[in-house]
Formats: sequence, C-alpha cells, structure tokens
Amino acid sequence: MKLSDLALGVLFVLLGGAVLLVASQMKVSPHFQYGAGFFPTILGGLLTLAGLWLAASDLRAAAARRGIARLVALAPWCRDRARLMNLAAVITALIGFVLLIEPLGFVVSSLVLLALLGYRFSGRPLLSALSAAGVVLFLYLFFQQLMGVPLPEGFLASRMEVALWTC
Amino acid sequence: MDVLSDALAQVLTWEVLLVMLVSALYGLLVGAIPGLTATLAVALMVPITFFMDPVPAIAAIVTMAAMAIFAGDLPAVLLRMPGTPASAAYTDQAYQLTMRGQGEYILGVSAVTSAVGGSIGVLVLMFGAPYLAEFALEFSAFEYFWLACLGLTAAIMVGGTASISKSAISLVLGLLVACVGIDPVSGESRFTFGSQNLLGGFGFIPVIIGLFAVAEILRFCIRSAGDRQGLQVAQAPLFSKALRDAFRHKVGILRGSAIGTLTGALPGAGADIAAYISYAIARRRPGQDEDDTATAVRQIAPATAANNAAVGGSFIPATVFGIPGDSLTAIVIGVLLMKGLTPGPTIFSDNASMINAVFLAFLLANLLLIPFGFLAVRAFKQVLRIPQAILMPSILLFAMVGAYAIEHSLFAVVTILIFGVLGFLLEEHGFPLAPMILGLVLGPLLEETFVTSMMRSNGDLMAFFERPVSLVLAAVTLGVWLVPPLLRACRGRGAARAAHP
Repeated sequence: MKLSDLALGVLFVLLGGAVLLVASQMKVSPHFQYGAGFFPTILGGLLTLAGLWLAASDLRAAAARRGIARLVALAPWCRDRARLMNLAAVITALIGFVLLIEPLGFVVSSLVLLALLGYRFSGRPLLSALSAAGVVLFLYLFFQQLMGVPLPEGFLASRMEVALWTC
Repeated sequence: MDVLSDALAQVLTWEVLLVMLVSALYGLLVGAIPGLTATLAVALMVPITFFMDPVPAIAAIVTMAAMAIFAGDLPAVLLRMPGTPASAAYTDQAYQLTMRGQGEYILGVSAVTSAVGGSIGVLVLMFGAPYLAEFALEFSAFEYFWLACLGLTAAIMVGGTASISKSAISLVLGLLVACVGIDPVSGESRFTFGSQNLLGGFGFIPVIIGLFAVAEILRFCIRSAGDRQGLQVAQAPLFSKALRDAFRHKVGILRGSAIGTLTGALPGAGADIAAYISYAIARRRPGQDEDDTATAVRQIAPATAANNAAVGGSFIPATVFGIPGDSLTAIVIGVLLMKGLTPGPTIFSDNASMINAVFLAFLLANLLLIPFGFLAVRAFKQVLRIPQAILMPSILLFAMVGAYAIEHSLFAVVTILIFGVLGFLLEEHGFPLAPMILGLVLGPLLEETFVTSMMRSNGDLMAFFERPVSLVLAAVTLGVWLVPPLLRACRGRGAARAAHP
C-alpha cells in the first residue's frame, strides 16, 4: 500500500493538530512561565505546516499534469503473496518473542522462533536449525555468561530448581 | 604530550586491541554484504558496547565505521551495488574497470587512499578540535540554540533526493519522540497517556535498532529474489601495483582529504557529499594519463580519500558542540552520553586523556584499513555466499535480545517493533530517516536551550540576536532558511521576464 503525498500531507496535518490538542491540555506550572506544553505546541504547529506544504506541492504537481494521483495505490510487492507472508512472519516473530520469552524462557523461545523464521525464508530445515542453535548459543554466552545480563529462564528454571531440590 | 602518552597507554591494552580487531572484521563483513549499511552495523553493535568501558566501546564503534565505509566500496565496485551512499559517486566508473578485470586493483587503491584520507581527518580532529573547544567555552544557551538549529537545518537541506517538506516532517517526528516522558525543564510528564513504560521516554537504543535494523529486515522481505548476482569477470590481484600507484596521486589524495575533512565538519554534510564534491573537482582537472585505467585512478582516488576523511571531520562538531552531522555521529553521541561523557567543550579539559584515546583508536583503525582492506577484497567472494535468508532472521534475534538486555524490559522489544514498522513505512514513502535521528538526539538540547533562553530574556526574542557570536550563528541559520527560496523567486521572475519581454 502506498499513500500519495496529498494523503500523507493530510495525515500529518491531522497528527500535528492532535499534538497541539494534547499539548494544550498539559499543566502549566505556577513556577515557570513556560509549561511542559510550550515546546510541543511549537512542534505541533511545525508539523501541521510541513503537512500542508507536502499536500500543497502534490496539488501543484497535479495541476501541472492536469489530474490528481490516486490517494492510495498498491505497491507492486503488495500483490505478491509470498512477500506479504514474509512481512507478516517477521512481525509475528517480534510479537511472539514478547509473549513467549517469559513463559518459555530465552533459550527455547529464541530457538523455535529463529528456526521457524529461517525455514520460512530459506526453505532449508537443517541449515535453519543449525544456524539457530549457533546464534542462540552465542547470544546466551555473550549476554548471560560474559556480561551477566539475566535472560528469562522460563519453565526450565522451575524444573531445574526441582531437580536440585530432589538431589 | 603527557595527555597523549596517557591516551596511548589506554589504547595499547590487550582488551582494546582485541575489541578493535573483532569490530574491524565485523565492520568489513557487514559493509561488504549488499543491502546492509554501516548504520545498521552500528545499531546492532550498540547493545554490545553498552556493557564495555568507554574507551573500548567508542573504539569499537569508530573502527567498525571506518571499515564499513571502506567495505561499502566492495559491492559498489565489483557488483555495481553501492553498499553505502558514500560510494555512489564513482560506482559507474569503477564498475567499468571491474568489467576489464581491474576491480581488485582499484579497490586496493581505494584501501590505501581511504587509510590516508581517514588518518588526515582524524589528525585534524585531534589537533584542531581543542582550539575550537576553547572558543566554544564562551558559548551560552543562545549560541547552543542557534547551533542546534543550524545542525537541524543542514540535516533537512542535504536530505539527499527527498523533498524538503518530507525531511522536515521526519525531523519534527524525531523531535516529538524526544519529547515523550518527563519534561526536563518543569518535570511534568508528557505524551505518556498514563503508561508507566513511557515515563522514561523511548529508549534511544531500541529506537535506533528499530529504525535501522528491523526496518531493514522488513525491507528485505519485500525485495525481489533476483536482485543479487555474482561476480562475472575474473579479477587480477594487483595489490603491490595499487600501493605504488596510490602514492603517485598524492596531490589529488591530499586535496580529496582536505575537502572531505572540511565537508564532514559542516553540520549536516557527510561522507557522500564529500565524495561527490571531490570526484567532481578531480574529473574537471585535465591530466596526462597513459591509458583509461590511469585516468580512472586519478579521478576516483581523491573521492575515496574524501569519504573516509569526512568521518573524522564529522566528529569535530560532534565532540566540540555535541551537534552530530549524520546518523552515525548521532549514535556515537548517544553512546557517549550513556557512558557519562557529555560531548561539549569541557570534554577536552575534564576528560582529555580519554577523548584523545578515542581519537588515537580512530587513527589506528584507519591505518589498519590497508592490511584488512586487502584481506576483505580477497575474501569478498566467500562473503557473497552467506545466505541472506539465514542472516536476516539472525539479525532480528540480535536486535530483539540486544534491546531487551539493555533495558531489562519487554517494552524495549515493543519499541523496536513500533519504530521498525514506522521506519519501514516512512522509507517506503520517500521520507529520509537521518533527520529523525538528529531530531531525536538534538531534541532535548534544543528545547532546554530555547526554554532557558526565553526565561532569561523574559520572552524577548531579540535577546537571541544580542551576543555577537549568536548573531553570526543566527545570520548563517536564517540565511540557509531564506536564501534558497529567495533565489528561486528571483530566478522565477527572471525567467518570466525573459518569456514576456
């Protein structure tokens, strides 16, 4: 999906207006002449102006060639299902990482996500699994062991604790 | 001299040298892969440097940057795919040499000239910046306000092929992102919409990882598979000839280095513009060459020197005023701030040996370009064999874990998702991302200097023009704003008069 400059300009004018609205509701401190909303108000105004300028230059170009470009056009990659699926896969992986890392732990969730994503892109299961194992091992050794950053252990942690208790 | 020997002792430790070696190899690898930029390499590296001491951390980033800018020449010359915009000026002419089997020769020349140009840029930085800093000690909030304005204006003006209105929107978006969180002047929370996570604002590192790494991966998803090709013509290895020939053009290389350092030192103008200017000058100068190859070397060598010299030059405003010229120096400033080193004139008196250690590491990195560059040229074919389908998911995991490790919260991963999608959409619609990064880094400085100046002058705008230095800076800034539209208006009227006499 691709928006024309006119549509983008209108979008940024609206965004600038929203910034102005939010900024106008910010508290004015009694100790300062200029409250927290002072600078954002200037930025909201500038964004509105820049949006108007973008829309106006698109309209001027449209007048020169006698015809307004379509507000929304489909970029060539939008018609290709495989590429759209790739985009969706990357975004799903990001959301999946946020949701899974705490219950499953860093090692399991990263291994699964990386191997699946590698397989989706390359179509080679063994290579994807091996490279996923290598990258996860490197990240674990670097952040957890070398730099001392605690990465979530997930369900493995409680298992290991139980194992230690029974010993 | 005491400071210099102290600085040298800080650089010549096993830790720093090992870090530089690893970052050099990493920079060469990322720079050489078509489609991966130097900024992406730095963005992925920042979480790792976060856990290091200041000197090895900054040494890692400058080494990596110098190597990645040179390595961007590899796909540019051998495959006609410039890895970084800095290599775009001479890509076509250099590719013609590759078609004749002389690609590795011209890359050898490029490694030598990059090393010379880069070293000259750093030497000017080392010995010039402290003088500028002494002058800058007198600056007040008014001057810093105008300097920040000048830097941001230049970022819009030289936004490359993008229209000025799009660069301006990108800049204001960056400034707005910088506003999220607690207002530095009054202490009120802004744009947090009741979220605890947003109270501290968006983390700088997750934002740049999102804008440069995640957006790049999303762009990879929609690229068509047939874009890549291998080397077609066998290349003759001529490194010793390259070494000799590079020194035959020393005048051109010196000129290119001088142009590069000066261009880099201007806020907003970076390595790509330096390469274009010096390439254009070299092409215009007549010369007696025995064949086409010699002509090409004479014209390309100054440009490859210039783009590396510009990296050193761009550190002058970055360290002296804290005003970055491009995305790369903006990230370096962000890292310096995280390390508790505030860039500004006092850095040269308070942390003299540390900042000089950083400069020395930078110089060493440029000298390392010659052996490492030759090595990279030989290994380039192997680099092309790395399947991007495996590389891109790995980069994504690096990005997520890096962001998580720094902020210790899953909100950082949410941030890289938000800014990844935002960066992808903006670039798809022709908005440049560099102004946004500059806005993000300069936003707090701009707001603080503006608001405190307004308070000091009781809202009188004329106070911004009263001090002599601030008057000059104001005149330059307003000139950059007003002169181009005025010129265009005059030219338009002149053309109209010519059409209707």
